[in-house]
Amino acid sequence: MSVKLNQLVDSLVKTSPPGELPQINNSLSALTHESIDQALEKYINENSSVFSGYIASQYNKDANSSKYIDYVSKKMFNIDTKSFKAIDIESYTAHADYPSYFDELVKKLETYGEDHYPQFAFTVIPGDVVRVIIIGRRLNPDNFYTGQWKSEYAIQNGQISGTVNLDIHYYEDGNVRLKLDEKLDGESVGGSASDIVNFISNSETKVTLKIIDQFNDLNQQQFKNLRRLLPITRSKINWGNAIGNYRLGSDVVNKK
Amino acid sequence: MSYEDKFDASLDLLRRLDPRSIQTNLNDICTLVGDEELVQDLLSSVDTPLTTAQCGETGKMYLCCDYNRDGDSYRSPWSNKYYPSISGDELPPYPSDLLRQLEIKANDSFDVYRDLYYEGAGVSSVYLWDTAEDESAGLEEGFAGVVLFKKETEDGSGKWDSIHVFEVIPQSKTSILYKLTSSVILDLQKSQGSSLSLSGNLTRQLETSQVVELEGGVNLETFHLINLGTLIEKSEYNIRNLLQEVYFDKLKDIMLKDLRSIGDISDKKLEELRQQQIVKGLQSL
Repeated sequence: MSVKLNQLVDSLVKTSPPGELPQINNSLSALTHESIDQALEKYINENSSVFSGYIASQYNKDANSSKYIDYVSKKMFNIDTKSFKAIDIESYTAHADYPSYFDELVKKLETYGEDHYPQFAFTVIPGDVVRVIIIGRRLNPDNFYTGQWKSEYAIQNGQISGTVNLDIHYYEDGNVRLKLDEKLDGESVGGSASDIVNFISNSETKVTLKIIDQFNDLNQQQFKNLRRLLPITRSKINWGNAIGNYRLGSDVVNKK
Repeated sequence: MSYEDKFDASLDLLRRLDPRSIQTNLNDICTLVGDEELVQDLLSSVDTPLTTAQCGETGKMYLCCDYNRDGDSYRSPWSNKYYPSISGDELPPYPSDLLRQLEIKANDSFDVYRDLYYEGAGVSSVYLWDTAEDESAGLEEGFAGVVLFKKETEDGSGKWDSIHVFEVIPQSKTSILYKLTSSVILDLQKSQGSSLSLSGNLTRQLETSQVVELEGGVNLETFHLINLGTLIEKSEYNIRNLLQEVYFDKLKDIMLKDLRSIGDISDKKLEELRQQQIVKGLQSL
């Protein structure tokens, strides 16, 4: 593929809603004969996503193969860019530097996820920087929507910081998208699994409440100011020859 | 792949990819498909945010879309002139004289509407075109048009574009069918202290059949203005309510019920389980 076409396909795939890659792949394939696998792989690498319950991201890519590593279940897997499922799943046997709180953190995250996420996947990635990724996702094609809540945390030298990324797509006779990227301020957590999960729980609840506030603001300020529900007269317009009277009326009021 | 397959695939992409990048995505898809006919069809069937231009003769702002475009020039509804002006032997398209008279009045009426609903701000434009083979047929043979509104909040955090495309189809000597497709492109983003953005578009159709009754100083021209005005006012009312519902209720519901809940959902799960058991118990009776 030429460089120009490559960039074009990349730029299209880049704005895909989470969870709709199969449909995007189908439609794009109808428009070009060239392979779009590269663009899809790039997307998967740049956007941590969930496939068959496993999370793939740039942080858990195996350096020596095309596979991703799930350190929690100690498995490795590929992603099939036709079905978008995890395939070639095998045991991960290499040595990784697990932090001492790893097992407890996994257990606590499991409970936390079950308490707050109707459908979710999570992973913990060991290393100099320990990473936690939680993805709550819902695909509901029957009701024309998909949505994803994704939070990513980095724990380094006893400090935790994170981001929350929310992306909802609603497409019944239209195309509406909600996007949010929120940074969470860092905090000291020492090396304790409970401190980490407490930080995650508190921060995520705070973000959720903030979003609800912002919804109200956008509704009450921006949306209301754009277009009135009814004219100031509170009744619909009297169309026809008399419509000029409105102008006459407002001219008198404004003393034009 | 057939022409239809490619057309459908392009539209499917545009309803999935980020609506905020719709203009870039549309351009990218046009480059990708390359087919001139397909590109023209896509450009005329995909709604993108409207652009504005200034009428050289009246100084008034007007809106640009595929329906008042000829090459890179756009016709102003206030002066009936194209800007930048078009030179050459071939004349750009204009509505027939009778239709232009109606277009002037429609622009006047919808300018009043804009004043009343958009609180004195924004821009409106109406463009009409003949649909009958014989352009001297007059309004009796029907016509088509588009009514456009555009408004931005002062700080640019809210943007509204509405596009109402209609067809006026005579069904008999005494009955006229009005078919309307309304789309609103709504983009909301707080300028400060927030990373939340809601953007996109919704499209709905509406039609009405009216018996021609010309009395009390109402001629056919006024009759059309009354029916089109009423229909578009109703459609925009509906779609504004729908936007309110989708942008603020639906999206919030999806976040709180499907993605991440504030409260402990294991309580909810227990409740659901209990209900299932009750239902099972009732069924086994």
